[in-house]
Amino acid sequence: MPCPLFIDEDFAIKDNSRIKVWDPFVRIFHWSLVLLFIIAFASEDGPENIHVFAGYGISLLVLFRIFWGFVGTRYARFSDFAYGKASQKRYLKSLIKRKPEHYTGHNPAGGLMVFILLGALLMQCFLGMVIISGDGEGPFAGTFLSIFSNPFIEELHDALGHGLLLLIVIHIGGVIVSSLLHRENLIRAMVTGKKNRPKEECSDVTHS
Amino acid sequence: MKLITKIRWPLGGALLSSALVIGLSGFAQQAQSSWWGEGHEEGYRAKNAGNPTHIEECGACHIAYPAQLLPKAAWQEILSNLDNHFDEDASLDDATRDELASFLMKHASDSENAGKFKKFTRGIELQNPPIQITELKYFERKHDEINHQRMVINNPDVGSFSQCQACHEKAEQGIFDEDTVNIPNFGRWDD
Amino acid sequence: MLLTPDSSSKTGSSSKTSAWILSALLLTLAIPSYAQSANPVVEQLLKEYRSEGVTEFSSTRDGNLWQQSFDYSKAPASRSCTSCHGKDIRQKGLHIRTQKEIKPLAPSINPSRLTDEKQIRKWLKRNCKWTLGRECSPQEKGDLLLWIQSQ
Repeated sequence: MPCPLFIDEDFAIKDNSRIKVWDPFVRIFHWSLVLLFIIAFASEDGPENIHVFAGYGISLLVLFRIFWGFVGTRYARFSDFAYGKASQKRYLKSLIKRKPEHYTGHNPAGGLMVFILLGALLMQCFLGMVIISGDGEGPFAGTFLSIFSNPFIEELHDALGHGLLLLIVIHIGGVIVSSLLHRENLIRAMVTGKKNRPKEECSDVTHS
Repeated sequence: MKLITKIRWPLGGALLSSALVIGLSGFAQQAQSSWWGEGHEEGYRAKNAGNPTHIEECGACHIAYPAQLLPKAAWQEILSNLDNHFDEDASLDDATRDELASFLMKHASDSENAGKFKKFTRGIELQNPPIQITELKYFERKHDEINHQRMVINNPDVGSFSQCQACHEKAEQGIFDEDTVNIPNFGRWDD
Repeated sequence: MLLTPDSSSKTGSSSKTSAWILSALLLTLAIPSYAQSANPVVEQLLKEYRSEGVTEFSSTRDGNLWQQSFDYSKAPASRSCTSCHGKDIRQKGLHIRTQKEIKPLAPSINPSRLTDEKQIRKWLKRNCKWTLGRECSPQEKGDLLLWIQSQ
């Protein structure tokens, strides 16, 4: 328990050591994305409906996340984790030295991964919809985009799918490394939404 | 900004829930189509593959390649050069040829009866298409995991990609779904 | 003439004989009768060839044509009827280029053979051109038909 107990205005004993970081929507978004990505990946050669609709779902999830990145709660906003290159380098160096800098929300490396993943997912969904537009299906059916429905784009879609898988592996690796170094279970944090409050913020009781 | 912080929760909730519902609705559609038998039109199943003239005239020397595999312009090209059909004389009397032409035009990959085979038009010039199915971009893509030397050319029971029926067990009925693939000496194709 | 009338059809006309005798007769006659059975389609074609000047057909002469090989500059360099149909047309054949199975040509095995005039004309024309490099003469065509019919 990193923070001392305190008594609030109603004379109730409060524990201030846990902080709400991930709001429910961020968490639902995250695990829905995990589910739909697994479905889309597993159905790549299989039943087309399942693959295509999982892709539509992912597109909407990404749209939601972009929306939430501007108007969401404090730690969900892009402005909270859009760090410069300098901070990203400094953070990675601190990881190597095994003295990681503490960030309540996304650390600079994690924040960068969010942007990369969202961008890659958006691109992937766009390519998928271009491909099926050649068969007269999807939102781009009948538009000029359908002339790009060719096997080269399909190969690109395949390759980006495997690229995404690689990014996810790096993401999971990063989460595990950070969890160990910070001595904090970040996976559980994405389920419960709560993280440990750093000592220097113990007196800060304002909520997000 | 005040307004948006008020409506962000219902708006975000609507986006999130619709994403999940749509994302999972593919399962419902899949289940429905297989329960109601509509799945037959979903797969690579050529419509009207059993046309007797087509089977008789095109299926004597090789399997009667389904009309849905090539676009109209390719069939036209083939029909106007039947006396030198891949170095063979496959000439027909005019009446039979015209009958075949109308059948092939009606079911070509760029016709309304193409169904899922419409994908075979991907990446080709519809006005100047290849006339060999094996040269179609989509064909190449769908067979890129097949080891050409080992599974096809040097496979005594296959020999060539032109032998659809060697691996596609129901090719002569116009069915090319993946679960009907059995590569001789290699076994079922489960991907 | 090699073609004798089908004796089994005459048996059938003496109608009041008991059924088992008839069937027994049909069964025994069926085996030798196919070679000689009058095939109206073939008859018609032979008549046509006769009108083109052929006086006599022989099913043995074309047995030779069936086996004969012809040289080509293009592959397959040696071509014969047997390239695809095989020496014994009571067996299945194999298309030399596509490896497609060809059903037996012999009417004794495959009764649908020699029943469609259009098909006969089409294949005689195409396959003579492929094998001999030219269309067959009426004599050759008639001989071939008779030979196939006898198998």
